[in-house]
Amino acid sequence: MKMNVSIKSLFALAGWAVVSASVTGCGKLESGAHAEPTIRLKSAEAVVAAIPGASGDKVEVANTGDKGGPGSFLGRVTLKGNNPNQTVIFEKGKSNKDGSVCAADGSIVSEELVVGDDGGVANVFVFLDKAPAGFKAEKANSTLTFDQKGCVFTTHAMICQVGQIIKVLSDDDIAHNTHTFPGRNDPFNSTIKPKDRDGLDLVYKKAEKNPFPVKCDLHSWMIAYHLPLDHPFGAVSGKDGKFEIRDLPAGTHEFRVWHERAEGGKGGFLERKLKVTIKGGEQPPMEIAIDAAKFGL
Amino acid sequence: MRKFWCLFFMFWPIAAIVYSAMSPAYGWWFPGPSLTELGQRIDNLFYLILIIITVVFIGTQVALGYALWKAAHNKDEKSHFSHGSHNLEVIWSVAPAVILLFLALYQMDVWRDFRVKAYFPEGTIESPIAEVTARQFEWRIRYPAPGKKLQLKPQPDDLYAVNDLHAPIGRAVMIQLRSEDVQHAFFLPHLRIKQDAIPGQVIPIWFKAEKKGLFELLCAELCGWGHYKMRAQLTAEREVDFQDYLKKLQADQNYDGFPASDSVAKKEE
Amino acid sequence: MSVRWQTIVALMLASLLAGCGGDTSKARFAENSALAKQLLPKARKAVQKTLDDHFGSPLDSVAWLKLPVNYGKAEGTVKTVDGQKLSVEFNAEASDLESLASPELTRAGLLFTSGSNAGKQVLLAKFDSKNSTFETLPGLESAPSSGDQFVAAGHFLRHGRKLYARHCQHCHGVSGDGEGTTAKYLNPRPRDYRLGVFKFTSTASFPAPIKATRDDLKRVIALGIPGTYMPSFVPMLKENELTAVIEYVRWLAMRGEIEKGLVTELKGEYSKDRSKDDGIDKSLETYLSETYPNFVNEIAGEVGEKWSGAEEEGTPIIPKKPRPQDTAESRHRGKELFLGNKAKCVNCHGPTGRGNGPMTEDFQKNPDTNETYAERGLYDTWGQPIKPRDLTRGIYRGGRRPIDIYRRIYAGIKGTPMPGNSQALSEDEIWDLVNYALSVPYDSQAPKSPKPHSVAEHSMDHGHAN
Repeated sequence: MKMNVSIKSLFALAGWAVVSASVTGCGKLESGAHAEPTIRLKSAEAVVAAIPGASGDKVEVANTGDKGGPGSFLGRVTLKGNNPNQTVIFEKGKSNKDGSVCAADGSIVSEELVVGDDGGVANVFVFLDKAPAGFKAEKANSTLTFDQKGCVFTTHAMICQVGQIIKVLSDDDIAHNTHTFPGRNDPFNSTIKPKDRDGLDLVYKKAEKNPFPVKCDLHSWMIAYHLPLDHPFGAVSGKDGKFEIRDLPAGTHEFRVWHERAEGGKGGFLERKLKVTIKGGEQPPMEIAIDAAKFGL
Repeated sequence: MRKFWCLFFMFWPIAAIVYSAMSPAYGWWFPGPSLTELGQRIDNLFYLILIIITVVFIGTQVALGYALWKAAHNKDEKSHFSHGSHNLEVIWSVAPAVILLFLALYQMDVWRDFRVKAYFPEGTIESPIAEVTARQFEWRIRYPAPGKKLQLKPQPDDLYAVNDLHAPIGRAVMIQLRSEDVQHAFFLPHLRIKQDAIPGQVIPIWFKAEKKGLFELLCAELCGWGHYKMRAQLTAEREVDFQDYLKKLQADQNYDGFPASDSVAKKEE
Repeated sequence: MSVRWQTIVALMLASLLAGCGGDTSKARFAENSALAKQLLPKARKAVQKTLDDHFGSPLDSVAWLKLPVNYGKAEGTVKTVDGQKLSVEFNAEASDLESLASPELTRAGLLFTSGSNAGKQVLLAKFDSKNSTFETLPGLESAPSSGDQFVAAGHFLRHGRKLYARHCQHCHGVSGDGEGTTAKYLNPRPRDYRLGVFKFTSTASFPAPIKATRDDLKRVIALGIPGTYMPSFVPMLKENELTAVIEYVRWLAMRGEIEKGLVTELKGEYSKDRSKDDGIDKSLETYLSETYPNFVNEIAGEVGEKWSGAEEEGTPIIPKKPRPQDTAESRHRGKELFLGNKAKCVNCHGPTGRGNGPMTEDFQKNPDTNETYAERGLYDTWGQPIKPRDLTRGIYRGGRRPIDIYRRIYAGIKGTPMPGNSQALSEDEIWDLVNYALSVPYDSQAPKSPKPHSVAEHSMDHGHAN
């Protein structure tokens, strides 16, 4: 179609272009720095009245008091599958730093999966997520020690109580830098003097839901795991995979089983609801066999 | 229609002149008289050029308007097809060339006084008061310790400040301009000082503030997304106040936090 | 008109309307998705709803009076009511009366705490300080009566919000997450406030890290951080503007921390990988209606206490001894500590202080996921690679005063692998280290140590490059 271009229409075109260009972008200047924010207030007293009976999550304890008094939970965690060897981080004398102390007396091996000859898995945390209903925790008045020697933490997995004093010690002639990475507590990050036998106080004020790493910023291979609980019903499995939790109230409890290699190697629960019924007195130990796959093998 | 075009083309130059004439009343002009004598000379040059070009502008636009108007009213007369006029071309090449040459020669002394190191006033080159380093998007300033001379290499007792350049009034002072990253420009509008900061170069700038006060220091070379807020200030003050400022800066910089040891810089400012 | 012309005109009309609108009142704070994605969708929504209720959105915010943020507050009683004008009497101790005359009072809130309108609020239009009269915007259903008590607040927060949007947002992001539009071009990244951790503080880190004080934040904004993209904002910002923007940053930090606390709490039981578990939905519902609201207050209280605790008297670290003379002996002692076993600074900072110690060669693991980081070297709590400071440059991010270096060594740098040495070194030792650190850039210029050089020391001196 042939366009009939006259001067008049060209002018009209130019006029439209100017008008629309000047109006375009003239949208509401309600953005960013020109916007006028509104502030509404919210008063501080917004506490919902506690619903009776719901002080924290209730953990169903069936038939308390009927089936006898408190009892113990004994167990053993084993690996179902091939026994892996522990990876060697440094051969004796071959540490890449502070060779006078680290790996001086022996090689440093990774403790991320320690399995005994009989298949017992060490350093597995078995614990109750919350204290059983009606349980009152006593203030822990004993002190725990957390030591390091030869550039390795002597306790690889530790359960402690909320408010309990943990003495962080060093048995090495060089400075270490113990640094915790908790979920709900404040982190601890301090240089530890060489051969500090008095120790620094480390106290966790809140219970955590799962163990968290404790590292040394000066020696990157050093790692341990801590779990502060607000009740005493937790244990870490020993070299043979065995653990014991005493004085549990009678009834059925749901335990959590945690290991640093579960859930694809990032540390997680092997079991979230391990049901255990306590009938009072001694009970046969429970065998907890975990597939090698769950450890990322 | 032709009349319309004539008016249309005449409207704009007239609007431009009216607009420019109104500008000073609205503050769209120099930020006040220059604070330095050199700046005043720069302003004078500006006015000279402004007058020249205004005269030329009005002249050429009037000629254009006349030609359009005459043509608009003259439907019958045919336009004369010219094969060019050698004389006219010589005139309008030589005249502007002469004017430009005049301007170039006329301004040489101002340029020399501002930019040529050999003509810097006495005492400025030997003892610059500060090194100003531009970086995205602030101005970092390094003074020598009181009583010492500024060295090219940072000294342990140098004093540091950010965005707050102090200078004494009444005497010519020099600063060294550097850039940490990209090109910036050191622009003191009230003093009519403008100089690009080139990374890798140390550029001397001298000035002599005549009056005390707080003046803006801006970046005048687009240097990134924060260029528009790369603003600092120049505090021009009496010599004694300037020395006091340096002493205070030194006390602040050596503040060791111990409560009784420092009566000057107690606050954590 | 031909079809072509009609199209052209139609396009122009369309372009006329383009650019109009752009309704940003729907702007929202971004979710901390790295954290929240670990939750069940319902739990995630619950967290978002809590944050919306207690903090609002950037342009329609909620000033939660529980938090120790200085919103700009005035409390008092209504004396007379005249339409939308309320003449009031203030409770002088609880009110910041001077600031009320600010234009930022428009659209701040006034909440009634007693009377027929208790719990309801109205937006303010302005304040007439001569007659102590507030003029409100319409919005109250029933008129207030004399004797009603109220709290008016928000003008500081509004002022802070506008300044933040203008100056800080493009790097630090709308929700203070360090993911503004320019952030991806910057190294190091802008601070993510949502962990509530600030690096350059004057407060201690043992036994527990204390938050940054308002003065600390002010110093950072006023002086910038040399060696990074954080510039100085003074003299551009005036004193009252600095105060307002600092409050807003603290508010954003608290919001981020509360979000983190909520997600951490819910993550234990209601994480995403449990979506197929029996009864999980019901359990979540029960939890949300029974325990969760109290937990929200609990976590807000904890976060608030930490921030207000930082403002108490005596939180900045004050040395018990003044800095000793900066002598060659002191520097020499400092150097020995630097290289020695007591402090092990060399492991990260390297033998010549260049920041190239052996720790920068190791592969570290992310403490949250236990995965090994792709690049060698140290990482900070924000998951970014971080290099130990190169002391030879003379660039001190946290400040170059002796007290600043003292505090770095004493309390470490929060959020980074730099530890506090307050429990391992004495004050004298720390001061010697300060003297040494400040001398490192000028090592080649300094007079040699008066002590005879041992072979080891001699080789270290030669190893130094300036």
